[in-house]
Amino acid sequence: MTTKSNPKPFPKEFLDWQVALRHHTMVERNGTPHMGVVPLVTVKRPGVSLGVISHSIVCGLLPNAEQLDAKTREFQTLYDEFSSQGAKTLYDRGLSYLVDYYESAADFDPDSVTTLLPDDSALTQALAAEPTCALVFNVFDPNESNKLGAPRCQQIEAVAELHRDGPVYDNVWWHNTLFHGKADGHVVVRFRHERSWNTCFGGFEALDG
Amino acid sequence: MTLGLRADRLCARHAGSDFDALRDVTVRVEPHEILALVGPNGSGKSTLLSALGREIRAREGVVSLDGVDIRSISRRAYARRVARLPQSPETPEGLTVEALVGYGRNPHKGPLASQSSRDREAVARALDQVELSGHRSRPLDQISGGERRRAWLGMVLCQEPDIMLLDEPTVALDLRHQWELLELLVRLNEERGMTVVLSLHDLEQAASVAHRMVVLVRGRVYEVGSIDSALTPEMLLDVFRVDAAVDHTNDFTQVHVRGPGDPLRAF
Repeated sequence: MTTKSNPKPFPKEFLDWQVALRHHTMVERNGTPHMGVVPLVTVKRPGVSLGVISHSIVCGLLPNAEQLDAKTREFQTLYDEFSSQGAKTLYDRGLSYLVDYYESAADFDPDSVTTLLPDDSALTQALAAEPTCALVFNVFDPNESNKLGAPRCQQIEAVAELHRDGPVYDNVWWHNTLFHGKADGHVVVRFRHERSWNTCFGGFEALDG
Repeated sequence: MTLGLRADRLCARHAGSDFDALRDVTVRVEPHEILALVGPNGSGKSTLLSALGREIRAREGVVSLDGVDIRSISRRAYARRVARLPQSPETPEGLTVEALVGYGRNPHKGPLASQSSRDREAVARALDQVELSGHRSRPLDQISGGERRRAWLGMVLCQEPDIMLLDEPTVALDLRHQWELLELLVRLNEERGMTVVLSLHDLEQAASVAHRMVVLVRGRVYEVGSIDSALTPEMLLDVFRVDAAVDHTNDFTQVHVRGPGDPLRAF
C-alpha cells in the first residue's frame, strides 16, 4: 500500500450528493451507475502522450471506520447465500440490500472514494508511480435534475492508495463481487481527498511531465 | 451420493491466461437430461464444457461425477462415461471417416487390442446414426465441412458414453442436418437415457431440445432453469443486450428480436 496522504473531509454537499445519487441508482436505475459516480481520473505519467493519463472509473463509497468490517461481512454473507442461484438472483438480492444502504452521509468515510482496477492496467501503474491525481465528476443529465438538483461538475483532488489486501480491499472487493463476480488480479484504489495545487485539471504543469 | 456431473464454485482459466474464464460457476447436470448452455461469445460456454470434459483443470472449486472428484478418475475410465466434442477439432490428415469414428472405441479397448465384434457393431451403428455409412472409406479431407462435423459426432456416439458434451454441434451443418442431429440427440436421450450437455447459439433450437438451460454471461452463471423461466425478454436484455419478445406457446419457442436494448442489470 502506498500511503503518503494527508486527507481532508470532502465538502459536505459533495458527499451528500454522492449518497443521494447512489440511493437514486438503487431505487430508480436498478443499480446501473449514474454518470455522477463515474469520474475521470487524471494523473501525471511522464513519457506518455501529453504526459498525463485520463481514464473514467466507477467509484464507490467506503463505510465509515466503525462499520467497515461489519458491512464487509454482510456482503460476504449475501454472496455465500445466493451466489449458487446465479448472478441474476445474487444481483437482485444485493440490490435489495443496498436500497437502504445509502441513506446518510454519516455512514460513510468522509474523505474517500474507491474503485477496483486490474492490477496491470495503465491507470494502476500510473497511480502507483504518482499517487497525486484529480477526479473530475461531470454530470450534465437534465433528466435527473428534478430529483437530484441541478446538473453539476466537481473536481476532487486526491492522493491514491493502492490496497491488495486488508479491510478496505475486502470491503470494496466483496461489494463488487455481489454485482460483477469475483475479480481476481485486481487492486483496490482508495482516492483520499487532499487539496493540492499541482494537479489542477487544465494546468500546465501536468503537461510538462 | 450426488448423481450426475456437477461443477461446484468452479473457477477455471485457459493455459497461459491470467484471468478466469469461469468465475464461481455452480452447475448440476441431472442424469438423463438435455441441458443447453447459452450465452454471448466469450461467456464461458466452451470453457465450461472443457472443464466438465476434464480438458482444463479447475483453479478453484471442483467438478465431480456421481459425487467423485473427476481428478481422481482415470482418463480412460472417465472417457467411458463422458465424451466431449470440441467446437473445432483438428482433423488428422488422411484419416478415413470409419477410422475416426473407430477412435471412439479406444476407451473400451486395451492399448494394443484390435477391434472386437462389439466395437465393429458400435462403429457401424454410429456411422448409420450420422448418415455416413456410404462415406466410411473416404478420407476426412475429401468430404464437406458438414460431413466432417457429423463424422466427429459419430466418433462421440461410438464412444457410447452416458454423458455427451457437445460444443456447438450444429455449426457448419445445413438446416436439414441441424435438425436431424438435434432429433438424434433427443432420441438418444429418450430411448437410451443419454445425458446431453450442449452449447448452442440458436436459442430457439436450444429451447426445442433442452429440458433446462444454463445462461452464462462473462464467465458467470446468470441463471439456471426451465426453458420458460430462463429464456425471457429480461434475460435477452441483460445477457444479449437485445430488445426481444419471446413466445413459448404451442410447444415451440420463438424469439423475435426487435433491436438493440439496454440491460436491466449492470453486471
